[in-house]
Amino acid sequence: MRFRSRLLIAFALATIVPLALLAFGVRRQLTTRLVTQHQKRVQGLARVAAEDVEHESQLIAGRLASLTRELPNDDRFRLAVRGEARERSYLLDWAERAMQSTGLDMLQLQDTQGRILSSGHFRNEFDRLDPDLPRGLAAAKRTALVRIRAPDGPFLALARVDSLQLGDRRFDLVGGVRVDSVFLERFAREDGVVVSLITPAETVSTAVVVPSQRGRVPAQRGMRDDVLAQIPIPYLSVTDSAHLTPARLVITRTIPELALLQRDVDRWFIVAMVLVVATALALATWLSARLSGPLATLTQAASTIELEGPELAVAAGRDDEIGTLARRMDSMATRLRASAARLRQAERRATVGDMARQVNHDIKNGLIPIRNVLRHLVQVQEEQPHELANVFAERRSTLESSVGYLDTLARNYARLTPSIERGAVDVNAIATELAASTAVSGATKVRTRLADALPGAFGDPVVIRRILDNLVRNAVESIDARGGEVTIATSRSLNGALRIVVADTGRGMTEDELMHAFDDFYTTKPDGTGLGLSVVRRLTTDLNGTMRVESEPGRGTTFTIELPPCTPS
Amino acid sequence: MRRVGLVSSIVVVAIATFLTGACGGSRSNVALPVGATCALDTARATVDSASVVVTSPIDPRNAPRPTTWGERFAFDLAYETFFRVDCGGKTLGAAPYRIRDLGFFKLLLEPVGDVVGPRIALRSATEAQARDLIDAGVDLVLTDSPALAAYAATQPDAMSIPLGWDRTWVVVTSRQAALGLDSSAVFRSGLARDVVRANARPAQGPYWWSDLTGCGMPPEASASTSRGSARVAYSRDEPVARALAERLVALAGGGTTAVGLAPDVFASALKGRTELAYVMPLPRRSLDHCRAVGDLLAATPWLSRMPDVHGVITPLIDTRLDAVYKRGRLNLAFTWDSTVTVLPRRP
Repeated sequence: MRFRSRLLIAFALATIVPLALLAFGVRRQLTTRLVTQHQKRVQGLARVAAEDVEHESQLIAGRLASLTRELPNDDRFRLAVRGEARERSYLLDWAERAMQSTGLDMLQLQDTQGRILSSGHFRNEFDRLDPDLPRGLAAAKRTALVRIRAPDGPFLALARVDSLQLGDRRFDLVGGVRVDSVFLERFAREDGVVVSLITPAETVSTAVVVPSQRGRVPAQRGMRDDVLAQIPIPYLSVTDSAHLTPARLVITRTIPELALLQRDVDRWFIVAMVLVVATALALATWLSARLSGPLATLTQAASTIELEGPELAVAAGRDDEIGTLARRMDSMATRLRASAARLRQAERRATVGDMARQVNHDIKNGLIPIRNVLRHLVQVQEEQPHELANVFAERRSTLESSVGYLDTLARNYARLTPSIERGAVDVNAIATELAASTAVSGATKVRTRLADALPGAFGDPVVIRRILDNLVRNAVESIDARGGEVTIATSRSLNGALRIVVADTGRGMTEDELMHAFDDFYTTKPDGTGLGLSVVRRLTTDLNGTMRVESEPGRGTTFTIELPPCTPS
Repeated sequence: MRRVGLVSSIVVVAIATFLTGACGGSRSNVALPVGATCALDTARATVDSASVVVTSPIDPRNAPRPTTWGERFAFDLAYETFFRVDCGGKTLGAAPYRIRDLGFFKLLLEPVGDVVGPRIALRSATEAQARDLIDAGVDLVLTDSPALAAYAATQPDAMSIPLGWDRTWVVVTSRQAALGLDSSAVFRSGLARDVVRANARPAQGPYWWSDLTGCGMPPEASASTSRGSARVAYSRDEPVARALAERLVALAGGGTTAVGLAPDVFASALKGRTELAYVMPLPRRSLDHCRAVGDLLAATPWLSRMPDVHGVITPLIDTRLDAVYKRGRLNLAFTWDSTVTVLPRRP
């Protein structure tokens, strides 16, 4: 995970977790305190609603009582109930007038048989028998809910019965108020409060009642109602026979206050969270950019630092830790560049010396055959002058070969970096010529044991000549004055490579000498350059060949070179 | 609001076709009240302006087809399409007034042509408003409320006179059994006496709608059927219809209810036969039987498919208006349909 991502996550956690804990704590405190207050308010609402119902009941009772007090003094009424035909219309209209003057929504006067003598809410219902209504209300002994018949359909009323006596006749006066959503509104004293009256037959509510909700508290979809109070009210059913059944006035809060508050807290919490997270992310992004940006610049600069390249300032101008680090890196790079410069200078000096020694070595190697031939010619001139021409002719090729070698060597050095020109090289020919050109003392013999039909090696003849020249010269020089033998053998290895073995019977090498035999400038000879075997190893590697050495002190050394053939075996 | 009144339409058409019927020799069962004179007040009126109150809705937008008896009274004075005929069958000439709508249920009837006057301020009022206007002094009160007529008659120089029985209130239903209708005379008497607050009597025949045949009316092509409603409908502008409907509902019991509809809605419901029953007035008289039948069938096309009209149209009560006028203020005359009209002064 990147440094910047870690920084972002850390910032987010550092802001969200404390905020979530704060919101949780606030919600918990609110809930605890509000539940207590809520319960008190609910009890208060229930008490007030019950008092309201009782108050309505008392109002109805008071209005009926006032009518029963006035009616005995109404002469036209008396005449009408006595059967006076001319006052009949007065009686029929009396209830309507009385209803309007008292504010009742229903009023009917009935005789002891239950015959309706006058009806205010249904004027033309007179003479209909309805004994169950006053009888049932009398049984209730208080206000009851009842469905009252009206011309445009029945309605629910909160009604009660009173009676009056005129002479020997007794009359029942049934009066009440219509119970509908408007009536129930007076019980809903707060916003969000729904008042419902639930009877076995219907549900009246201040909320919209759908048919499926009849008989239960109307609830808004997705909302859990909080029932604040339930007040029992008797319901008089007069469908078949009058009987009282319970109904209830249910006061609910469509959106519970607590849930409302919690919802508000949640909403503000979410808003705060979004703002805080956005701010935190922006801040984290800015800070991480401030922090990781210079680091990325440092990384980029570090990756482009070159000891040979121009000097670059990584982060100049900052005075913080990153600036210090940048300055340290700049200082380190400066020191490294200085060290590298010194090293290059030393290498150049060493290389020049090496080159001089290499040239010296190569020239000496090239001059040795010439010197040997010249010594031989001098010896012949002194001892056998008449053979001089023949010997010269015999050794002329050696001279020419050596001169050619030196010439080629000179051209290569002229190019500083000699190039290898690959091709088929007759290794046996080089070995034969080398064996012939190598002047040795009388006790030392250079022999060849060459394989027949040996394919050419894939390489440069000059390079192969230098390899063998160095190996043979080392072998000859390892043989002391008592004499010995140097053998140049060629063969094919099992894997098809051309194998060249140069073995001597010289003094051999110790294990320590063998470990450093191929190191540059390592030599055990007083006048040696220490480059012979290292050159051999480098040239062999350049030809994609391999080289190994076996040596034992006092028993000689064997170098085995394997070169790739020119044609696949 | 545009209102359509079946009864008034029938009356309008009947009046408009009076001369046609008379001249064309078509059948007429009208029995005009014949007396020594049709003049209501013989005094020569000299007032230049008079005030008239009617306890019936008047909407000038319904002109020239009246939908209420109040509009019939007003439009009769103001539109030449009406041939005014007195109770003796004598034509009273063209309409002498034009109508100006003053708003708030006030109309001003202004004399036209060579008519001298008087100018008539016509008010449509409720009973309570009418009492206030009476107290302020009016020249003519036309009402269907006996109580109001009695109150108006208490004015100085006031004369109260009941007009002729001009309307029969019927219940129209093809499901009399569902309504539990009682067609007895006792029942009708009870309705007239106790149910309506109008000058009423039990309906008395003969009825011109007893025979809907013989006029060449084609039967309804696609008869509508009642949709099983349990409502007794009435026009909400008619208190008498409401009282009758509520009484029918009270006696029917069960889930039957009464519903007051706007006049145009009532007309649509009647034509579409969407309710259980309809309480409405029909004119007591018709000058042209076939035109009256035609209008009735236009309003209730499904009647033409009924085998017995007596099983569908049940007469309940007859009603009439009361006219209370101040003597010597207006020239009034009885008209052929048992109402009154104002006669202008001529130069």
